[in-house]
Amino acid sequence: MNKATYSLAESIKLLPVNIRNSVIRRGGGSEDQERASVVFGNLFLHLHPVRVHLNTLRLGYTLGLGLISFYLLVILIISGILLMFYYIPSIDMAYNSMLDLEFAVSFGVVLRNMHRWAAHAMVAFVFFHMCRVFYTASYKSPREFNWVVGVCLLLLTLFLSFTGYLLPWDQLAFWAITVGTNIVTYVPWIGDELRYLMLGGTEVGQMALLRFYVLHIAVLPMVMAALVGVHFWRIRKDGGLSRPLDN
Amino acid sequence: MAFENSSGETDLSVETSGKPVAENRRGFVKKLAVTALALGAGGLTVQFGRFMTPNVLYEAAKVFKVGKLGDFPIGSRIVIEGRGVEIVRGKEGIHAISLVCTHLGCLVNPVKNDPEVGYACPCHGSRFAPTGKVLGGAAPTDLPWYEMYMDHMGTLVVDASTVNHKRTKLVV
Amino acid sequence: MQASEKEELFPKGSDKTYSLMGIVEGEPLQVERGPDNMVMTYPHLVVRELLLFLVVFIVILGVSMVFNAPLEEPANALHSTNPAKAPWYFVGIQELVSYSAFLGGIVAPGVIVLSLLLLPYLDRNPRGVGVWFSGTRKFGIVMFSLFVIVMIVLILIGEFLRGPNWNIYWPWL
Ligand code: HEM
Ligand code: FES
Repeated sequence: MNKATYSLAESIKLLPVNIRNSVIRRGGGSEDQERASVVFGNLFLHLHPVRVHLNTLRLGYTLGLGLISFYLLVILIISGILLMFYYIPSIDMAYNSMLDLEFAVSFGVVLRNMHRWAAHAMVAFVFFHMCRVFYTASYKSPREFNWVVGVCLLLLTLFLSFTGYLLPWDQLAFWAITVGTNIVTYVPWIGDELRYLMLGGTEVGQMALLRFYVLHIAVLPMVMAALVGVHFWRIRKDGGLSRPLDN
Repeated sequence: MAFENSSGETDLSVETSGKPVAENRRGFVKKLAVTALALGAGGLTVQFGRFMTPNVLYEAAKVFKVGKLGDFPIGSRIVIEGRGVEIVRGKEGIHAISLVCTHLGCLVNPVKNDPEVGYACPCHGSRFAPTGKVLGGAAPTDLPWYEMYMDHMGTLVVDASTVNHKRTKLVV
Repeated sequence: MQASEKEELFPKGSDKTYSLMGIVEGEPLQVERGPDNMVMTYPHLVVRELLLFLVVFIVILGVSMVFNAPLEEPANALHSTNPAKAPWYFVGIQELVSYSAFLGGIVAPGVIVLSLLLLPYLDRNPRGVGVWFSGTRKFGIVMFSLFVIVMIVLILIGEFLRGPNWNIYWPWL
């Protein structure tokens, strides 16, 4: 065993290598072991198994629909956080924030467009993804529960879109939410109370805007993130993506 | 059943009779715990609901003045902007009718050139007679009339929190 | 009995990271077949995933450069828009609501969500897993397709055929 020198000069010389090695863990060994360690040494990749079945790679099988939904969610979260720097959830200011984003903020209009179009696309792609899962019978044992998680994700996606729809505080938003929340009053027995709770009052006003805002930027995204985590984890626990029997 | 620890000695067990008693006791404690938990969770939910329900609203008052009698000539139909009511004055008297569609809450538009139809909703096409009666569309109930009175100053006041079920006109 | 006899054929090796937990009667799954059809996640899957992200991002960015998100006049509680429409994904429900608010707005969505939640527990036959439109489950496929088609048709009606006062109008007339 050779004597390690911990001299400063040596440390400085090794700085780049040591920093790199402290961040990225690499198992040496065969090529496959190296590749395996890429996956399980990385927080973001380790949800994947080290090996996957060839069927998983077949674009014609999944059509990538679930992954596209996820990517849209990522785009929505990033563009949404950026919009929050300029958006003010007040009935006097909200609409002006929209105009500011459009005319006064660099790239504001692009970000708003991205947020809006990605939201529309996400609703569609989550629905298509559900259709794919149905038509390939991928909800059957042992994946029943992940289908249930998926249905919750679909509902969350719809709620997120609905709460976001009010935020621009334009005519479209105001009347869509008026109509939407009035549907709730037809729930037997507790309809009126439910609407009161949703709006924080009897009309679509400041309290309603604030409630929808908090749901849209904090509560629902957090639930969504947690459930997407469960969804992905379950895919792995259920033995990877469904596939026809090998024979 | 006695509990034994690693040294083989009997644990301090207050056991008296046999296994069934201990099992029952454990079952009881379990039930107690579950009940307490359920009560706690239920209470928490109720209190959370109370927190989320505002006790004070900063909304427009439900009782409001609409003007002097002279502002409403006989045969006129005047919409009070921002209040969602229309004041209608005929030969027999005056009344306040809600313009909030009973279907899903859009504001109905007064129709003036049709003797049959008094109001039409833009949202899902409900139509109402001049009295507020549903003529067609998805609206489940008639447009309500609100209580109306004249205060001591001679100003007409509408009380939108009280529905005038009998549809009596204010005779002045 | 048989199991314990066979177990000796597979002695536990000290250099193995796994151990044999039990022997079951029947066709072994992996006779003379290695971990077939399996590929390394990195790079095969990871690279494809990153590529897909690029495609999604570029498409969204491209669309956002060309088309502006709608913004109407500021909210005005005094005047309903005519017609007042929900966002497109709820317009199908709104179409139902325009026939009956309770049936269309509460019962129909409730039934849809409940049936979706229960589906995997009601349709348990493992036929057709992993195959697109497997011919062994025609009934389910027809029913689900009906649901999808009805949803799409309702959305199309609500979005394109409903004009002022929620009257049907034909856009090409
Ligand atoms: C926010 C919404 C959702 C996201 C981000 C998401 C994401 C994903 C991803 C990335 C996969 C891997 C396979 C693929 O890409 O197609 C997947 C699989 C799956 N998803 Fe989703 N999903 C969502 C909603 C849903 C919905 C609405 C359902 C059904 C009601 C569902 C049920 C499933 C099931 C059962 C699988 C396993 C499929 C298989 O093993 O072949 N998910 N999901
Ligand atoms: S809100 Fe008036 S018809 Fe629906």
